[in-house]
Parts: sequence; structure tokens; C-alpha cells
Amino acid sequence: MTHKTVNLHVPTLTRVEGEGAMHVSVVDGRVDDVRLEIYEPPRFFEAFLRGRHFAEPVDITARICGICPVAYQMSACHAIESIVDVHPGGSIRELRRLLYCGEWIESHVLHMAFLHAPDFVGVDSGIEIAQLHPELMVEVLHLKKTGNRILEVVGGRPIHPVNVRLGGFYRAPSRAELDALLDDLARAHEGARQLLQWVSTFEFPSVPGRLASDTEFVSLRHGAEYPFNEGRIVSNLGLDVDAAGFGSLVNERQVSHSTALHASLGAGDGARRQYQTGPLARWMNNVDLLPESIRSFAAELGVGAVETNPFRSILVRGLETLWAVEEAQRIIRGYRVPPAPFQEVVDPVGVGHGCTEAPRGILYHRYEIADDGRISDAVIVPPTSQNQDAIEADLRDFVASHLDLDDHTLGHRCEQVIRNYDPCISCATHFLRFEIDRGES
Amino acid sequence: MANRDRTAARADRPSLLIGVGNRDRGDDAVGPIVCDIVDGLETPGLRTVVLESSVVDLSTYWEPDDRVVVVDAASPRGRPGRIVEYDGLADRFVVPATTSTHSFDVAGAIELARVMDRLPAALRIVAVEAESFEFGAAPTPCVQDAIGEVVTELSRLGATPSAGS
Repeated sequence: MTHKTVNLHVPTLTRVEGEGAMHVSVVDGRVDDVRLEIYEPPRFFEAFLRGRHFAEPVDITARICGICPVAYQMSACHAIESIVDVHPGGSIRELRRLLYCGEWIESHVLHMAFLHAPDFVGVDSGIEIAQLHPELMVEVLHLKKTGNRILEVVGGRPIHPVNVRLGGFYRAPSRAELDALLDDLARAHEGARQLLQWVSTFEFPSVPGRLASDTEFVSLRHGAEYPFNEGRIVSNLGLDVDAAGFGSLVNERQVSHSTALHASLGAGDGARRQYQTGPLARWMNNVDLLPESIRSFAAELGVGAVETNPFRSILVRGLETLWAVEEAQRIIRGYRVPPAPFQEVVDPVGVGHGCTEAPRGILYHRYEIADDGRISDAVIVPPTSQNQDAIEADLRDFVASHLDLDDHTLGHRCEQVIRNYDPCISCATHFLRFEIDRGES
Repeated sequence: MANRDRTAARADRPSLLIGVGNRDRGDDAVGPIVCDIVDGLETPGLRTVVLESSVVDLSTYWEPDDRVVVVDAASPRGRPGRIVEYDGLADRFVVPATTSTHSFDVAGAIELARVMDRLPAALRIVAVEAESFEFGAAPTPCVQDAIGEVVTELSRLGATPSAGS
């Protein structure tokens, strides 16, 4: 039995999007304290959405993230459209899915090759991976560029799309514009397979005891489709509510060491159930909805229908990338220019909820719109914020089961544990405890 | 030129101009604006690409025989509008080993291309020192002057037969 006492503090996490730190302390062989410290300043998006016109969140919230702006746009659209029961179908709906394909491809590939894979290869950066596997990295870059090209053609720009509006798009792309993507997508398909085959050769650490009983995997599920834009919020333990139920389902709370709110399930009943969202949850809850081409390739790579080891999330991201490429091909081949690029969204007054699947997991928006068309309240719950409890639980479990490692190695591995979630810290920063003493009685 | 530093700049006629930057962030728009102006000049044989998103995939925009000029804004160092040129083939850039994609810049993209053996025939980096990255602002006067200077130089090179042509 070990009686080790360890204090690990990583003041600046590397290869994550945004700025955060990690602190782990072990006293007499027992994990005493674990903190994912998010210190990036809060950004007040919810506050400055108040008073804005109902059409504005689609563009304003896109600025929260340069990697997943589509997720913010789509959650905002769905939330506000739901107030007046507008649900664009047909080609508009397909274009929205296509836009989401582009985002998943560029985001997943960037994380896999540049942020996550170095952990498994034992190097510090994507550049070193390129040195070892130059031909693969050329395909990875092409794959990422293809994702950005989809954003550019459908969204008007490769980053922070400007063509999205309530009810659809300002302009629908022509058939020829989308067809021009097919050659790139064919090459991207092969690139995604190569990337997956390479990733599947990694050795994946384990987290003994991980998630055996008390973590719920939460994602969307919708009809016969792997989820992007729509769906009910479900879990592997039987949860099943619509987006409007998110607020009563999830309890957000402040902690002193993070500018991002933590989240847990079980609001109102006093219990606090830990959950996580993201690729592992999507996969677990929706694998039956994937086409046979993806499921058989997953089987070939040894990926099961249920994957709970967070280190293996890189495999699922790869499979989701491959699927997004295939989905983009399907949508483009069947595309018909819609008669109108958008459906009118007239006078939404009331409360609307939207939840879509950002690359990192479910992203919830709630808007309350007053009679004058101005937003009176806004709530945004990004996936990284929701995953903080799960990350800290993983850190706790991992440290407890790897106390034999030296401090340097253990610290490095703990960073990997955090990177398993592809945290986007800039998205998650949320609140600032603000007190003012005006000296008044 | 008074406000210009050169390190082994190449005088080949460029075949590809890449402007890097965000049009909505003050002086960061220098690359896209230079591309816009050069586009309007319709220089034969010169393609332009504006990169407003991540530059990780910079090397996918050129072919091995391209003669490339990349124009980007540089961090303020007290001399706004100063133009610094690098030879991307001869000069090596220091890239932090561990970084988020937020901080992956042109230098990182070039080093990435180098290790993949994906550098073009010529690669000239034109960095214009910025003064302000204010949201929604126009480029500052010093940087606007520099834009004119960069465009003039590119026009001169565009009219010059490249080595071997």
C-alpha cells in the first residue's frame, strides 16, 4: 500500500482550446483534492444578449467560438423558431445538417491530429506528428480544409458563418456550388479512414472503476438520424426529455475555482447525478442509427457499441468524422435548391429552448422574448461547462489508480485526461462572482 | 523604403498571394485588404486567397511550383506600419512545442509544411506591424500606408518576369 503525498499543479494546460489549469493533491495515498481550474475571464454573452432584437442571437452567439460557431447558431435558431412553431424542413433542413457536417469535420480533425494524438504518440505537437507521418498529415490538413470549405460554401465564411438566419439562410447555395465539393469529399473520405486506421493503433490507458455506476451519458437522439440539430435529450440510463426539459433537468452551480458553471443532473430533488456529454455519449445512445458502412468499420477497428473509456473518445471522434463526410456526400447528391432560402419567423414572443450537438456535446440555449421583440433573458449552457464534473471525476479516478507513476508522468497523464474531452474553455467561461459594497445601509 | 526591413526577400514574380487576417479586427485586415486590391488589378498569372480562419492548413493552398507571397499582420512592437519580410524557405521560425490551435500562426503553418516537405518553390512572408486590433475598426493610418507600399511592391514584382520564365 502506498502512502504517497503528491501535489500536482499545472498552471497552464496545453493543447486545449482556451486557458485553464489543473490542481491535484494526494495525501497519504488518498486523492484529497482535484480541480480543473478555468480562469479565463467570463465573457458575459448572456448578459449582453438581453435587450437585443430576437434576430440577433444567431450572429452574436456565433462569436462565442471560432471552432464551433455553427452549434451556437443552430441552437439559437431552434430555440427562437420553437416559440412560433417554425420547423424548416426539406432542403433548408438538409443545408443545416450539411453546415453541421463541416463543423464536425474541421473541429474533430483539429482536435484529433493536433491536440489529442500527440499524447498517444509521445510527442508535444502536431508538427512532430507531421514529421513522423508527413503523408498522413497532408490528408489530415485536406480533411480539415474540406470541413472549412463546407462552412464557406453554405455559411458564407469558413469561420463565424454569416449566411445563417432565423428560418434558414440568407441565400441557398446553387447545385453547382455544392457539387464542387464532392471531389474534395471523396478524398476526405479516404483521409478520414486513414486517420482512423492510424488512431486505432494507439495504446489507450485505462481508468479502472471509471463510470461503473454513477455517470450518465447524455446526448440527443432523433428519429432515424445520428443527431446534429434536433432530438430529445436522452441518456444510457433512461433519461428522455425534450429541449424544454433541460432547465428542470440540469442544475448549474458556481464553484470557486472555475469561471465556468458546473452542471449536474437532478435539479430540484436534492440529488446531484454526474453526467457527461460528447462523442462517447452520442455514440452509446445512437450507434444503431449510423449507416452500416460506419458500424462495420468501427467493428473492424475494435470499437464497440458502448465505449466508456474517455481515452478512446479519439476513436469515436474519428468515426463521427467519417460519418460526417458520408452524410455531407449524401446531402449534396440529393440536394435541390429550396424555393425560398428561409421560412419567415414572425413575432416570436415567449420562451424558446434549443439543444443541438456541438462537436463536444449538447449545447443548450433558452431565450425569453418580450412583446417588443427584445430578449429579456438568455441562458447558454455549453458542453465543456457540463463536462467539468466528469473531467474532475476522471482525474480523481486516474490519479487514484496510477499513484505508482512519478509526478512528472502523472501530471502529464492528467493533462491527457482533460484533453480526452476536447474542452473548449473559451466557450465555457460564463460567470463572475460580483459583489459591490457601496457603503450604503 | 524607409520603414521596411528585409531578410533575404526574393524578387520572383509571385504566382499566389495569400492574405491572412480578420477583416473585422482593425489592422489584422491587412492581408485580406492587400488581396482585395491586388485582385482588382487583375495581374496575369497571380491568384489570390484570403484566409480568415485557422492557418493550420496554409500549405494546402499552394502547389510545389508556386511562388507564394503571404501577407499578414504582426504584433505591435512600437513601429506600426513597419514592413518586415522573411524568406520562408531560408528562414526558420520558432514555434512553441505545445500550443492550442488558437495560437497556431503562419510561422507554425510554415514549419508544419517544412516537415511535410510541402513548401512551394518560393515563399515570401510580408509582415506588417500592427498598431491596433480593435473590433470593427478600419486599419490605422500607418498600416494603411503600409498596405499601399505592399501593393506597389507586389505590382512591380507582378510585372517582372520571374526567374526562368
